[in-house]
Amino acid sequence: MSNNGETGSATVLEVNNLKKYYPSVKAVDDISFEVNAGEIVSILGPNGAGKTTTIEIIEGLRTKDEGEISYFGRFKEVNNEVKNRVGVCFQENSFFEDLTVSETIRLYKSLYEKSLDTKELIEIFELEEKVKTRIRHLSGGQKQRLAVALAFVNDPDLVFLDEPTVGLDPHARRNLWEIILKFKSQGKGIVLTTHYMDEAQQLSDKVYIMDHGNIITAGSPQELINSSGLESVIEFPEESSALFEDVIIAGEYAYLHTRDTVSAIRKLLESNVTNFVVRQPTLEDVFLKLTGKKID
Amino acid sequence: MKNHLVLFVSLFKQLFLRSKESVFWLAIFPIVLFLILTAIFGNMDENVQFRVKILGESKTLEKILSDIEQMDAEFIADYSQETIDTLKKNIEEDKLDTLVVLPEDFDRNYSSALLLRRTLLFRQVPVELHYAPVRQSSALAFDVVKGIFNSMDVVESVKYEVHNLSQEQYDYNNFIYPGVVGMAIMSVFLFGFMNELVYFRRKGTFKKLSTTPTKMVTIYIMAAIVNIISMILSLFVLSLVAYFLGVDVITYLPSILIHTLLSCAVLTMLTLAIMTFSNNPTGLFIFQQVFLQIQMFLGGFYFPLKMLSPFITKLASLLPLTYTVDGMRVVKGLNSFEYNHFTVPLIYLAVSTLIVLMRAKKLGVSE
Repeated sequence: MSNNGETGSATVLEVNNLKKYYPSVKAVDDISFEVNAGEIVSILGPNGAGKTTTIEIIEGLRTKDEGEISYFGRFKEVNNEVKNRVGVCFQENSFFEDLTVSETIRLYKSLYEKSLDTKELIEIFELEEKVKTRIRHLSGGQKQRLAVALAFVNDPDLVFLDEPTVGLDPHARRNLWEIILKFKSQGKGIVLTTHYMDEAQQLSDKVYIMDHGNIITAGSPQELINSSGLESVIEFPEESSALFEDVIIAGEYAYLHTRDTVSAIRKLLESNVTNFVVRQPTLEDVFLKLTGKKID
Repeated sequence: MKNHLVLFVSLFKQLFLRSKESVFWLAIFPIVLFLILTAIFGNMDENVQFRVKILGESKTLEKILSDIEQMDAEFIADYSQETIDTLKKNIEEDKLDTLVVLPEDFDRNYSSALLLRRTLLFRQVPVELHYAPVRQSSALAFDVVKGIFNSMDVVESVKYEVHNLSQEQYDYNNFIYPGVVGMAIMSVFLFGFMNELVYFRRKGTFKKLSTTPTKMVTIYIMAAIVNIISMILSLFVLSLVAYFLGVDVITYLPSILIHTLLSCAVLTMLTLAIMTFSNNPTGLFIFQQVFLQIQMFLGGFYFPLKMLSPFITKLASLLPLTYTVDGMRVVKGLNSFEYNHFTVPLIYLAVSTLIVLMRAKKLGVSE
């Protein structure tokens, strides 16, 4: 499957039968997946599904109990060669708050063997006006952009992005998507963890949905939607959920996944329920159907 | 090498140059502490014992003075000008607090004055008091003696002030300087180094750094070097202030440097050893406070250990920074312990290093 990770379609990460058990919980229970160069792979799951544990084991921050991880088809553990080729953006990022943006980039550049040009990186992430600003004076969105920029500072072949667009406004989110897609087009393998389903749907080549430490389904977003058997989704107020047997309640709304849309609409109208929405199923609906939960 | 330099410069900016907390602990706190202590105790003698000499004879006065425990009084019968000059010189040189010159036949004059005090023949008995008002011990002795004469009702105290003081005296400024240095070292490592490491570890800054090829131990070592260099810079500023307050900084310098470097090493390893057991800010705060209070008050930072009870002295002898401060004082002969000042700190260093080596994994950033 892998070809030493040196060409565009190479496998940059291969995880086989990974297990991590804590005394009271199976955090990661025998999961396997792979990431190829030039591919964005999303790992989705409700809180406590085991996503962060999985990613942190791969990043070398936690130990595994069983299983095998192969980096770039050559390395079985996180050594300095691997670290030089991997970029990481955590969900909660913390910096040396009294350093400026450029000093922070210079610091992280100095820690790797190779790196992108500082000016280029600053331009890509639109931080030009904040180069000399201390990090404690940046807004949440600017800090988030810097955190993602630092994940790419070493021009990595494999990048882990955990909630990279959290705290960004819609415009900034879309800008960041473009940047991520640009890096993907350069052949970087990207592992994305996000709770924005539209983000996963837009960016991912492959999606792994995790729950209770297991991967419960995998495929491209469209494959998952197609294989879910969902024809349409009707969204209506939770108080009318008793009208149907198989509805999923999440918050104030009930979600009906059905192939017989006309009958369902008739039933709602007969019960004087008029504030409903009928739409095509999305990745979020697949997630809801599989896990029974909306992602938080 | 270049990456280590960039890491060092970054940490130096973050932990020292641009950190308001560091500026407080490293520069403002020790200087303010030094100024406060010298202002309060700067002129006070080591022992509160009033040294008084009385020229003349008086059974009455002898009896009164013998009842005052802190009064070290001596009567001298010689009224020569030479004796008076010598005793005044003693006040200048801080060998004497107060000189009392009684008139001849003081007791007889005093008895007469008492008998005649309601008549036209009444004359007060004049007594000369010589003292140095700028020296606290002398001023206190003067007040006590003057109070005694005031209570005798018919005695008139005539005050003579001595101002031409010699510099050769017990100097609290010289004594307290190593104590403030010890306090600064302790503050920097307990409230600076330890808090910074815990903060960045908990916030995730170190977690991000640990995903780079740089080893965590390098980061800890760099942070410790930054603290030691900051400490030396702080010492320079403190010593400058101390110099202008009359402290013999030049004599102190070699021993201050040696003991500061040793205690920095001890506290670096002790901090890391403690961190292998806890990353919990509350637990570490309790440790910091307990260690600080015990070391500060029992370690002879602010007053000589020989003034304390044998039990406390024994307890103090178990603390590492007691030896740092006492060791610095050796060059001025102000030390309390006569034995080796390096053994106990080196034991702390060795044990802490051993713990760190054995539990190095606990200094990681996750799990």
